[in-house]
Amino acid sequence: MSAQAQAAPQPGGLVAARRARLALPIGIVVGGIMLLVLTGATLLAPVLLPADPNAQDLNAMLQRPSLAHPFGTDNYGRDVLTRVLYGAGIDLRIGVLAIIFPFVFGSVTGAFAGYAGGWADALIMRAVDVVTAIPFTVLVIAIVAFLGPGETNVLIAIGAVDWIIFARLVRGEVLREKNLEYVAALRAFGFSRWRIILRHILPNAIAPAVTFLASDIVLVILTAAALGYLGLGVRPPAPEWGLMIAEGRTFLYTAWWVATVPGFACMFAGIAFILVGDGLADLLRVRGQ
Amino acid sequence: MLRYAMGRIGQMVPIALCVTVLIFLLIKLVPGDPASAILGDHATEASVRALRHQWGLDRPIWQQYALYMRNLATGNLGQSLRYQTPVSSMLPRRIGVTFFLIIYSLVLSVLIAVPMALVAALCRNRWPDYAIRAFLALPLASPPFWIGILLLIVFSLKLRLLPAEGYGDGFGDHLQHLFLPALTLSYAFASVLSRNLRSSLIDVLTTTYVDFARAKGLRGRAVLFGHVLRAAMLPIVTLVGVRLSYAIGGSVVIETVFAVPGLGSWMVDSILSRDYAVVQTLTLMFALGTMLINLTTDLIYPLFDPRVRVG
Repeated sequence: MSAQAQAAPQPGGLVAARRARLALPIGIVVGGIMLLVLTGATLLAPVLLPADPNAQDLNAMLQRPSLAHPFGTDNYGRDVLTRVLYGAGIDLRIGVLAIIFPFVFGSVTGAFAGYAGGWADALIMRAVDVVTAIPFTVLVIAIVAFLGPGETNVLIAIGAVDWIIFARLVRGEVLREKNLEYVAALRAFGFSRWRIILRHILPNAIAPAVTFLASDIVLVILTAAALGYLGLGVRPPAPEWGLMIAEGRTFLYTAWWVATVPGFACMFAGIAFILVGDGLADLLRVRGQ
Repeated sequence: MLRYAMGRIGQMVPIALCVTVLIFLLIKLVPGDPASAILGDHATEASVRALRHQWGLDRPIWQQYALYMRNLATGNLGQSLRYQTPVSSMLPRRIGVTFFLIIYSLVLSVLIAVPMALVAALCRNRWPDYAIRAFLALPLASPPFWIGILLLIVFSLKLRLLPAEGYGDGFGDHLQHLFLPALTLSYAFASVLSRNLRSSLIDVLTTTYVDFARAKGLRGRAVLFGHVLRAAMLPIVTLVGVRLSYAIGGSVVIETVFAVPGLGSWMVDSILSRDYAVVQTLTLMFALGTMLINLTTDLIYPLFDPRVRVG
């Protein structure tokens, strides 16, 4: 399959080009399988590992990885494997929930700004500039600092900052799209501005934003984990990955597994989404040509 | 050039003002009353009222903003509740530490990214290219603070090569103490840098003037470093500016991992002790730092590319 994908840039004629177009990039297959494994494990966690992820066993504190506890136990004797698996549910949930508002609000705002132009565009884009002026992580941390910790506030903080990326992406596309003939025709038909934006331009301008969703999920999961690590995210004793890494930070010398294992889970999820996202981007690019 | 510079600075001022409004409004996000939140459940009504008055919370919101701006302008940045010292007296040292860390990580990133991008571009689509790209894809998918912890386990706890925490005294000591945090920050930085430099190098390698340089008899290395690398670095300058703002954001968490006494760990400390005024000031410092970096890259760019200077 990868041989076929490599054939694309070579001037191998129509047959090779068509074959490359039909072949699914290897990355998207691997990433897809990884995602399936991850979601499957998350959904089946109560069946696979029926033990309570918060169950303490003070007789089995900080135990090395063994048959009974493949990834060892933490300072409360809680099984690290069970907690990492249940943690996937929390971190993936945040990743998926947190991008809904930025995607919808950012895309619509960006499309409106690009189509309307003039002072509305200037106003929206200056707002985007102001939010961009503060580093993403700093602003999210600052907002959570004032709202207080907890999953809902993490979602609010990310939503308040993340939409600007989608607004930028979609606005750029709409600026190109709005001067095409079909838009002039729609306007001549007397369609309303919002109908033209939402029903006709947005479907043509949304591809880059959709492609970015996969990278954005990774960004959000990593940010949520960072907030958890700082003690500003999901509250303990929830088995959130960042929080678990923070709890293990104290025992690095005696029990390295408590802090390291959740990070590998996070990396696994990150790689899965990046592979799928890159693959999707390639597919869309090939189809666009 | 001067008009270009003045224009860029002129664009920045209104944005900086809006940033101060945004940061001022952050305090309104506190559920309930910030004064009673800070003083705790056992505070008397009189002490809450006194603190509210001291902060101007009993006045209309535009007066509160005016007060906030007047304090900023006069350098009265408030009192750190946790350290019981004026914020302005702690600020210079802390800024110095974070600045050191960011520049250190920038230097390390370039040292990592340039050789890797060169090898990847010259061995395009062969195994060294794939290996380098896989190695550089990892930091995009993993939490940076976790990578920091892995480095800490290997280099300070197991191999005992480097100190695990702190800042140290003197330049050499700083270099040693900040090596692991800077390396952690630079991993993600180098990843993006190297990816872009690789594609930029490949673009340059296929241009005709490289063929020309070879044809006039220059040796491979002279072509590579004298012409190719110089031209390929151009698009990277802007990217460095953008990525530095990410590095600044990342430094907040990384400083906490390695207990580096900079702005980031101070911010986290202040959040945990509900030192709202300090959190606001530090957020503003991070924003101003980012804006200065972006301005600097915009101003430096014409020095590298005469086309912008003329146009």
